[in-house]
Amino acid sequence: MNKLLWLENEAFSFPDFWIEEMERDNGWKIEVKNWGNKPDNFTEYDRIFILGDSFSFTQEKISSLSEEWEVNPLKVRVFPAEEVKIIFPKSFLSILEKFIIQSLSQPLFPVEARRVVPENRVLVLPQLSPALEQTLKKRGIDTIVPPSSFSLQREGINFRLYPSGDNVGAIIISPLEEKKFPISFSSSVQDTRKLVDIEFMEKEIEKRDFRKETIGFIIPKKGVTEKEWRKAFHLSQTLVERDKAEVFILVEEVLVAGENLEKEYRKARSSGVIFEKVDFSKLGTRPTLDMRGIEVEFATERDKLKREVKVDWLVLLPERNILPFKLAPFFCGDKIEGEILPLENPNVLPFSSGIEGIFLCPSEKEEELSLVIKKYLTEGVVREIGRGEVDEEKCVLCLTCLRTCPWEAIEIEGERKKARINGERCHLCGLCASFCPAHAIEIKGLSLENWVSAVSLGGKNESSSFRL
Amino acid sequence: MRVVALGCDKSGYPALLRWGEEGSLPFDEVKIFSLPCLGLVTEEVIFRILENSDALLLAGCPLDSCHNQKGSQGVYLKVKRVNSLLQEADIPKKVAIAFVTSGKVGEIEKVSEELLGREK
Amino acid sequence: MIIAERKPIKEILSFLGPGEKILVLGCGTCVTVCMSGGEKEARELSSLLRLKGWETKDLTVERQCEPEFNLRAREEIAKVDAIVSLACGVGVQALAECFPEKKIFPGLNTTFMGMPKEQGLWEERCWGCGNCIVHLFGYVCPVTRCAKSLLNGPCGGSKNGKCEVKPDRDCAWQLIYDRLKKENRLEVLYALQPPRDWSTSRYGGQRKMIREDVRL
Repeated sequence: MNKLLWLENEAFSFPDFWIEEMERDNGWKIEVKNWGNKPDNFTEYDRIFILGDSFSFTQEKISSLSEEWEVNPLKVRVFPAEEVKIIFPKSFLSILEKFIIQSLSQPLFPVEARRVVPENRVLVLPQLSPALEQTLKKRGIDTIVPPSSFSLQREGINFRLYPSGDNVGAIIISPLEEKKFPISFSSSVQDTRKLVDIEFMEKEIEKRDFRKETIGFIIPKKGVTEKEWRKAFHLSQTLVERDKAEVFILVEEVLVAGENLEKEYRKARSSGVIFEKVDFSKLGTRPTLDMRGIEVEFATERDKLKREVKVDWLVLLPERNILPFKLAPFFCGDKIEGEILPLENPNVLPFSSGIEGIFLCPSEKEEELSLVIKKYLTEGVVREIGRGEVDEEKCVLCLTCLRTCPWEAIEIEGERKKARINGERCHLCGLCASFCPAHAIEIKGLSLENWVSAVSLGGKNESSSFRL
Repeated sequence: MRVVALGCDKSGYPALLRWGEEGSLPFDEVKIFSLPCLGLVTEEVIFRILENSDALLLAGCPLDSCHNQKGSQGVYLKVKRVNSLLQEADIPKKVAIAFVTSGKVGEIEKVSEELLGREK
Repeated sequence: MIIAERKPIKEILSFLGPGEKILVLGCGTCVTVCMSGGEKEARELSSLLRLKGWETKDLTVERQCEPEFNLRAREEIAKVDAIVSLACGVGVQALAECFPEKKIFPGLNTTFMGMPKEQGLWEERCWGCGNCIVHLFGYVCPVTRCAKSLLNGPCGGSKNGKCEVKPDRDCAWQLIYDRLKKENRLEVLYALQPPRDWSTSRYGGQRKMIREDVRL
């Protein structure tokens, strides 16, 4: 006799006689509970059905509930709350019954929802800066000093150093940055000596005032740190308010993302600093005839008119490019890794690179990064072990899955064996299965057959997220 | 036109549901399904779904913010290929993909127009 | 599959300098099946080289045409002075691209794309012309199997069904005729083949194939 749990929500509550009818007709034993009075032990049920919104009960959510309840995640099925049709109770009941029967007919492969916690130790490459060392220590994260020559292999969710055999839970790359100016200046402009950096301006402003002078700032859009923006706003405001100077700030884009930067920007603007968004490729400079200033020619974004301004000082902020970090000399996994670059993806952990577990620390972000790392190393992640499987007989070792997997979860066993999915790293995205030319990879419980046949279920204009 | 819509549970499916609720759908029949990630979709699934419907509408995370990094891109490349095969064989069915976040339905509307052949 | 034959031993020996440490690298796919460069042959050659006084080791990788497999041998490769690669020409070049500073010698002569007619006998079937028209010739490829690659009928020099250029080979046109006769389709031979566009073929430098949909 199948013992089933039905977890309902406030939207709909089962009348008792429905339960009895289903139990009678099918020989089931159904317990109805809700989130307020959950059972103590979930493991005694053959299946657990949740009535819930499909978009709150995502696969990740089901993984994490299964881990909490210590049950096989394939036992947990979500009946979409969107499907609840109270208007025609009889047809709803039969749909639900069919859903339960179909769930019971699915084979239960041995899958375990496991919380995988990385080792509380990090490796910093190419070297550990004092700022990073301090903040990591503060958060109680161990760091390891690598020997002069070593290689890295993946060991589950961790990385293992060879030959020492030490494990680290995460790797932090402090990338090299190159400072670049997006505009080039002729030697005659440079000879005016009026092209300066912001540090110079900071010092000068303490020494003297810039009454009746015109100062221009050129700020690129990439890689300017928050500190530098703040300095620019602050200095420009001081120049206008204290010295009654004229200040122009030429930007590619005004980036005001960041704490209080919005406020500072507005303050600077309202004090009289002129901000113009311009196309840097059309920006030109010339020295003034007396070589005491620079003439700046630009076209503004808003009206495309060409303007010329004569400045007594031109303050340049550099573009800070993060240079890609070459991992290949260290990494000895199966996948050929190229360069580590920041992954600008809001849906993965902040500071992520293209490789899970490897983080990039741009300048001045050490505090924020260490918070993210601490959380990652403490909480770990919930993975479903045993869910992705490669059929060894079908695998032809074409390496497509290895090259496609975004999470480095594919390993090539031994010298001449087959591809294998490492459950600790697999996110169940299904890319390997959908690209495998030999149809050798299966994600258990995600059956394409069922999808295709489900297309014929349901009627007109219905949503049917039978998660199959 | 009978349309099947598949959305990823992170962004595509919530957006599809919202689109379904918000207004009158421009198709005769729409069935909406969810899956964990669009990366699971293969050409075979697309073709077999098209055997029972007129068009397939996929909704997933934008290309550079897929929660599995390359799931949207993987299926996008497959959709391009399937569409070119359908065109080459003169089959009047189509697949389209909308890159959405869970709140934005504008993209789905645009893609629906595409499927109906009413693109501007 | 790709068929290759081991180079004459004397030639291989002439590549190697005295006192060099050698690695014989076998390949586990095509050349294993045609018995020229697989694990067995790698071990054989390795023993032979040791008998001639070289310090030699052997290793076989799944396929030398894939960098991921070649890189797995990096530790062994780092220890030696020269590698004798028993892969087809593709594998030798792929190996060289993976290890840009290593001395590599090809141990095989890569010859053709073919099939086994019987155990121990492999015959060429395909030339890689890039525009397959075997269906017009009773499934016998005249480009490959006719010594003169004639497309509009036999040259007339065949004797007893054997080619005049290579008397131990069948005349391709004889085979074409026989097959079409059996199928009662001789009339297809009336279709005149225009001068062929060979640009899809091996002339004009390397060819490539792109599948955009898998380039993630």
